[in-house]
Amino acid sequence: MSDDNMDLPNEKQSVLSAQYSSLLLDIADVNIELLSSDSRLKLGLEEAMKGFIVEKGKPDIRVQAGWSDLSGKRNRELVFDSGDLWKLYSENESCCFWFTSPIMGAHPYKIATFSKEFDSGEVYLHRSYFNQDQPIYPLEYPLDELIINNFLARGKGMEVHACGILNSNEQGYLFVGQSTAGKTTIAKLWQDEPGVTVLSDDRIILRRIENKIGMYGTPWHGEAMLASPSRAPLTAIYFLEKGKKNELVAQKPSDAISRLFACSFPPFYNRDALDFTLSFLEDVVKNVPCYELRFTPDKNVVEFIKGERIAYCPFGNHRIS
Amino acid sequence: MSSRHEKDARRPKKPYTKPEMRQIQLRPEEAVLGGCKISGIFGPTANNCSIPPQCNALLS
Repeated sequence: MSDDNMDLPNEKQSVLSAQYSSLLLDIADVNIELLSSDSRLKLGLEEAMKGFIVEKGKPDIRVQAGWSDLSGKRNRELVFDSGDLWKLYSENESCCFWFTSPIMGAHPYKIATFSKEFDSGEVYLHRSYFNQDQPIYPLEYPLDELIINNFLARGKGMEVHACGILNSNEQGYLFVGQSTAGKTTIAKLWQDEPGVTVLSDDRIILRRIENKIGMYGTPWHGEAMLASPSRAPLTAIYFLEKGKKNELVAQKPSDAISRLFACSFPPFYNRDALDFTLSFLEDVVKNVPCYELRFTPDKNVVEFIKGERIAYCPFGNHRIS
Repeated sequence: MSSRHEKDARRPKKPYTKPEMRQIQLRPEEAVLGGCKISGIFGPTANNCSIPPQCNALLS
């Protein structure tokens, strides 16, 4: 396994030990500056996120975090209900995420307000719900992903539910699938291969890198807890399906777009963002060969993928050995 | 210079295939990041799914 892969401790044991008053994170070439606007709020980071800290860089997104009393009423208009942890409201033309949990109480435990372009925002935590002596990561799941996904959907890229593998020849393989599809299984099978970096076993960001489609690792890992800030040109996309033997089935562009869309996290509540996401997906499948990978969960699938010679011709004429 | 019509005539005609509807499975709780994500598990089956890890409820 490459040194780039972070060997992370068990997620439930991870302690936000280090304390910061400000942080700069680089996730897929998006710099997020996180500042504590309150000296009593100490910032902490989950283990996986520490590999994404950078010393300097121009922030693309600036976020201020602080304590507040979130029990008061506010004028707002519901835009979207996720059905669980969060709801999105429109408040004075800003996007406002409210996070609630019945276990914590009736008031939101966190409110995050962002500009329309998602380049600046404020996050407030409901003071009485938290232990203020401990460092806190105010962008904890799912807020950090919501911010990045909204920012990317403004013409920059998208996040997909996938495992990303960078091999020693600088080729990038994307294994796409929803929960239980086999992303972590694939990541574990590849992780000990010489020169291989697992970019993430659960979440990958796709963006254009110069004139190619590229993929980036993210701190949002799956069960294998593999996360790397590396990036790779995207060589092939594989939609995971369990099978009795290893085989590839070339995908029509329309099917590939549908399957990628079903495994992505676009802001469904924003028409322009969805328009961009669909056009970006079209760009991706025009430039990267897409296959259904029917696989057996053993090392043979790694050798099978390594043995494939993929010559890409637009719209379906992929030669497979 | 050959006309567009001549070029089109030389190109083999793609056989017509009837459009077909294919259903793609979407999991709303995953797609909107609405549920919990602990060890890759989404939704209410995960332990402490809706509790932020640093909250007082976990300490008491």
